[in-house]
Amino acid sequence: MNWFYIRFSAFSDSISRFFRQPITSLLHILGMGIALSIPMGCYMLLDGADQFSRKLNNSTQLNVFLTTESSDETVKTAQTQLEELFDGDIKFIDRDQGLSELSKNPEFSELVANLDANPIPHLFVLTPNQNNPQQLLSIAQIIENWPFVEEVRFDADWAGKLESFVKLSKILVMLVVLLIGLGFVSSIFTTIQLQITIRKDEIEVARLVGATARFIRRPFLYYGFIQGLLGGLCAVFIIFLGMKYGLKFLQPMLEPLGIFIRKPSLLTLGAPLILSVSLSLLGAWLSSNNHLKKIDS
Amino acid sequence: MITTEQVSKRYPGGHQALKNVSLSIQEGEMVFLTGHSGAGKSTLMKLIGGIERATSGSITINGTKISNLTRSALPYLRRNFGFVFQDNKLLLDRSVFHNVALPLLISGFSKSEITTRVRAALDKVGLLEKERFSPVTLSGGEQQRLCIARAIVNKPAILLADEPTGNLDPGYAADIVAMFRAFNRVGVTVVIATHDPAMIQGLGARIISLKRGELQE
Repeated sequence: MNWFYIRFSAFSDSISRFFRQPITSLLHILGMGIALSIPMGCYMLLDGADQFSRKLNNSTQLNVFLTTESSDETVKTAQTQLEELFDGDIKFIDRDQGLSELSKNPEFSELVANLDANPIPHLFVLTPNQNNPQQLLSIAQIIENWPFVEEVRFDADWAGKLESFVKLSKILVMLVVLLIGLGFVSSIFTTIQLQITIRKDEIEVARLVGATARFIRRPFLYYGFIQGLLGGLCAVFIIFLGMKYGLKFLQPMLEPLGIFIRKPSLLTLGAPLILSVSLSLLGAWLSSNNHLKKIDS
Repeated sequence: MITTEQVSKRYPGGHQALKNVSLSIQEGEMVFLTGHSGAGKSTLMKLIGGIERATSGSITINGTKISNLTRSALPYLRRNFGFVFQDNKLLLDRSVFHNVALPLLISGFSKSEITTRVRAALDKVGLLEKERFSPVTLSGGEQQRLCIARAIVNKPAILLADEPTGNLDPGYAADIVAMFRAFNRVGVTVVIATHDPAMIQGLGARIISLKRGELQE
């Protein structure tokens, strides 16, 4: 009961101090919320792009175009060599079949009808059993060097580049989170220093009448906790508002790019909250400890 | 109860506040520490109370050597003392009640026990009716009595008072001294640092004099 009473007294005192300067506290919380929600929002956007690049990679195919003068014998050789090299589905599209498919397209039908000779090459469409863009790329490089191959088109090439770009951007977002985290800790450190200055007399008296370091540190840790919690909740609220209203404007622009922003998971929403509380507690602990060391030396 | 052996204190910058001070104060004794301003009275009080550490020598309180205590153990030692200061060191943003309650809250007393003890202490110093007041509304003498109430609420074995009547007129000062005498009569060891000869007269208490940080025989 006494244990609870001591902590409850410190906690209620910290809350009352927090609300004693409502505008300052509110602005501080808002600043924390915005600072946290920006990288979280960027992360969600990148996550959408990441899903898109993965989807592209999953549907990766290699299109192998043979030279136009390739004979049936060459096609057979190509089929055998591809079967030896490639693990997956190999589909052959004959040049005549290619031309007839092209003629089905109303835009090209007239053009095809006026052709003297068939310009379409034989085509092999390779679909791998296991998706491994890196492996597929090296296979494409081997095939490209065969003398009867005109061109190898690797559709997922740019998807791979997009994936790399997304990965790089995610690392950058993490760096931003790290920097914001450091800014967070220093901001809380300063806020607690200010609180310590305001409560300097109280700390001195408490120390004289036998308060332990833990007792003196406690209200500042609670203060940091309250600030971190409210800052984190503010970030969650901003993300929620962004999802609910901001996406209406963003989604039509992102859809043509194939990017769909998913609703944030509980973990995505919990992350800024946990981060905010932990960093605030760290800042408060460093600040109060720094002061205690000073007065004890 | 309190023993100092060859205690010296040198502050950063080279100021020698105390030099080889050895003394002994018995349990239940009332002692006056006297000397001019800068004689080292306050420093000795701080060293006895574990607020500062001696540069050399040893201080023993109830058989415990302060120098052997870790930093985290010192707060528990301080709970054996009641401190009264010339400048009161009251918390002006808290009520009279909450000022006195602070040491009990720190020591982990229950809410009901805190209420009982605080009221008893305020009653002893004649401030019970002002428990809800802010300390700023009290007179100088009342503020000093409030400081005494905070010092005795924990029922300390030792009361350390540093110039407790320094800012008071003679009438109030006599009241305060009478209070200390009363606490001493019920077994509390009282150490009062003062440079006021009028305060000491007629009490029959032991007088320890300091001059430029050294004990005067």
